Amino acid sequence: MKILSLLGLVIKNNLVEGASAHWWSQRVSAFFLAILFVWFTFSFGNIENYEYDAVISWSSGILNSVMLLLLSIAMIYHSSLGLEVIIEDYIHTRKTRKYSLILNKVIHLLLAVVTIVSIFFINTGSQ
Amino acid sequence: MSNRVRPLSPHLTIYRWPITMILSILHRGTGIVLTLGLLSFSLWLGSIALGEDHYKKFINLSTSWPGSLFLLSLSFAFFLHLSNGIRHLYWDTGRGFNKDNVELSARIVIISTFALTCLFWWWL
Repeated sequence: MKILSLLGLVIKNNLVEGASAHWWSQRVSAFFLAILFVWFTFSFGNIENYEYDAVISWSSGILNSVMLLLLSIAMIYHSSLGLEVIIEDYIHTRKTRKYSLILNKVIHLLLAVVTIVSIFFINTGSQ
Repeated sequence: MSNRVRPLSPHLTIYRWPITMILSILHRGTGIVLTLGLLSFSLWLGSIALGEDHYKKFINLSTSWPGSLFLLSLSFAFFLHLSNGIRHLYWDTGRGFNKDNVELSARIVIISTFALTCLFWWWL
C-alpha cells in the first residue's frame, strides 16, 4: 500500500520526468531482472548438454526466444541506467561527462542491436 | 577547471572501512563488471546466431582457464549485485535503516553471495 501511495504521489506531482523516472526505471528493471534470471538459471541449466544442437534447439523455441529477448532488453536497460549514474557521479569535467554519457548510450544501443538481431536469426533458423 | 582541485566526497582515504561501505562500493564495482558480462552475453548470442564454428570458438574461449576464471568472477559479481540489490529494494520500502539492521543485512548479503555462487556451479 505504501508503495502504491508513493507511486500515486509521483504521478500526481508529475515527478516522472528526470531523476525520479530514472530511479523508478532502475528499480522496476532490477525487479524484472531478478525474476528473468531465475528463469534463465533453471531453464538453461536444465538442458542435456551444451553442444551446438542442444543450445540452438533450446534457444530457438518461441517461448525461450521471447524470454531471451526480455532478458536482454532488461539487462541492457538496467546496465545503461547504472553506468549513467556512475558516470554522473565520478566524471566531473563537463565535456568528458557529456561525451561519456553519449558513448554509454551508443554502446548499449549497439548491444541491443546485436542481441535482438541474434535472437531473431536464432529463432528463424537462418544464419 | 577549478573544481578539479577541490576535495570530492566520498573521502575514501580518511575513513576506516566498515562492512557497509565495502558493500556499497562493491555494488558499483560489480555493476561495472556485470556490464562486461552483458558484453559477453551478447557475444554468446551472436556466436549461436552465426553458426556452429563460431559457437565452438566461444565455448573454447570460455572453457579455457582465463575464460573460466572470468565466468567464476562474473557469477560471484552477479550474486553479490543481486543479493545487495534485493537489500536495496528492501530499503526502498523504507525499512531496515537502523545501524544494527544495516550491518545484519550486510552480513546476510555476503553469506548469500558465497552460498548462491557455490549452489549455481553445483547446479550447472
